[in-house]
Amino acid sequence: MRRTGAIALIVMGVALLLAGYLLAAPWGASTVADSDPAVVGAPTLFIIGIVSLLSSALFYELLPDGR
Amino acid sequence: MSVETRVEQKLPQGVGRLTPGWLVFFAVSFVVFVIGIGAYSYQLSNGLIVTGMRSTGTMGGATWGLYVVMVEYFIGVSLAGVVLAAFVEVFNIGALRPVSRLAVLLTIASLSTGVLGVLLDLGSPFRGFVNMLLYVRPQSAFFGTFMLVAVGVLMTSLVYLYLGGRRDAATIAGTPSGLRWFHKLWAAGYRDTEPERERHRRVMFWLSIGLVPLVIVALSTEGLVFGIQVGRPGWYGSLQGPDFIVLAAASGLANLVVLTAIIRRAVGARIPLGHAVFKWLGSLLLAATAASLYFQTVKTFTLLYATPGNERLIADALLRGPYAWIFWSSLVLMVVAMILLVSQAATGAWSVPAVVAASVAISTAAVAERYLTVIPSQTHGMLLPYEPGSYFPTWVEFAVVGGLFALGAILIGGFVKVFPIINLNSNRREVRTDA
Repeated sequence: MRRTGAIALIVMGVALLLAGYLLAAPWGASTVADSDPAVVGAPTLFIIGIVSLLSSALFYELLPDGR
Repeated sequence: MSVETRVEQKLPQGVGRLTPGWLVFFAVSFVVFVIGIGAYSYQLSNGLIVTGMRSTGTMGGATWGLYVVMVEYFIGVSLAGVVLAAFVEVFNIGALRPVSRLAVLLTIASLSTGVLGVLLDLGSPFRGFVNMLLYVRPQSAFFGTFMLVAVGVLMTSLVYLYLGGRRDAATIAGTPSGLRWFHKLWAAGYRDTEPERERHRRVMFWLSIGLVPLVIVALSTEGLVFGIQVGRPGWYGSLQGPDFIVLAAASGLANLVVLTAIIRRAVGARIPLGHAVFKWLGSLLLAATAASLYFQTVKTFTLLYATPGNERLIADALLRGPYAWIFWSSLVLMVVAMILLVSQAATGAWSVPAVVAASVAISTAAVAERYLTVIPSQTHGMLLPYEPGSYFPTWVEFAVVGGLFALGAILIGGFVKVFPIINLNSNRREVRTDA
């Protein structure tokens, strides 16, 4: 449970980091006016990804034994 | 004589015991902090016109002023603390283990003030923050300077501090005191069993492994913000990133030395902060300062050999123009610090006052170096045919920056009164059984 939960948080974190990074890129933009992220709010996904990665350490260490 | 509180005296390292000296320190810090808040309120209601910042070129000023200088300094200072703590964990450096919590705390305090400094520099901080969440691009160097630093490094450091302190929290939670609830909350059920220790070692090891590259990437982008600006002579160059890192290491270690000396004096001889700690810190400081001086020399020589033009204008401004006194003063301070450190390394006789003196010199020089990185290229680095400009901070900027320093002091000073700043088990050799 402990290991599985921590790994799940790490995988989710990495996925969110990648999603945030890719969705924030202005793919195909040719002018400065089009330089906003492809998906507005995508940088927040990137940040949640970092939080998720860090949460894995807390989860792994803080989950009580034998539950 | 100390002012007794409800808190039991048995808590280690003066935790919960408010001495007159600490109260004076806290009161002064609080007053400076309040003055800083007042000055910032004045700036917020009147706009950035109350600062010395003006548009570059057309208004002959600098759009990045003292706030950005101090952001660079504070974020630089944060580097050494958490990286040092990570190295202590990974390589099991017993001599430095007593200062690892203090090092992480220094990182948290300096990152907090640095991140606040970024917001203070904005005319509308709230709007800037919200827009950053919505529109910022992770590919941008500016993302690294704020989000990676604020969210990545600061949060990792908080997790590091929290997990690293659980064992001590559990130890002192058994002592009846007014802070017992806080220590029990921090311990979160930790019972110091062998499986828990094993898990803790594993988590701290991998957290340390992940932390160092994160810090290096996040802080390199601080240098890249300047280094990738093609249109700004004096900034554009591949050395900005590495130069930022080495000066950050030197200034961070210097601050850590000063803090360690203060804690050593305040808490007394009951804590394991002997000469070995200062010898280690002094040696690391020597290496970082030497590397920083080397980068400074290379950058200066490159400027001197620049063709007549904008780069040359900056070189003149630095070496014999309006910034010469800052440039030469910082150089003298760095050289004096080097002499102090090299002489101790050569004789093997490390003296705490001498290491502290060298650290104060390096820290002061680091502020000057950050100032010279940020300001001259804006006032003297125009590609367009504007006259050279000038910048001098107003009282508002000085008061706000004073408030930031006070906030850092309050964070650190407050922490040492609620939790042991030196690891209680730092003398115990950790036997690593995992990878």
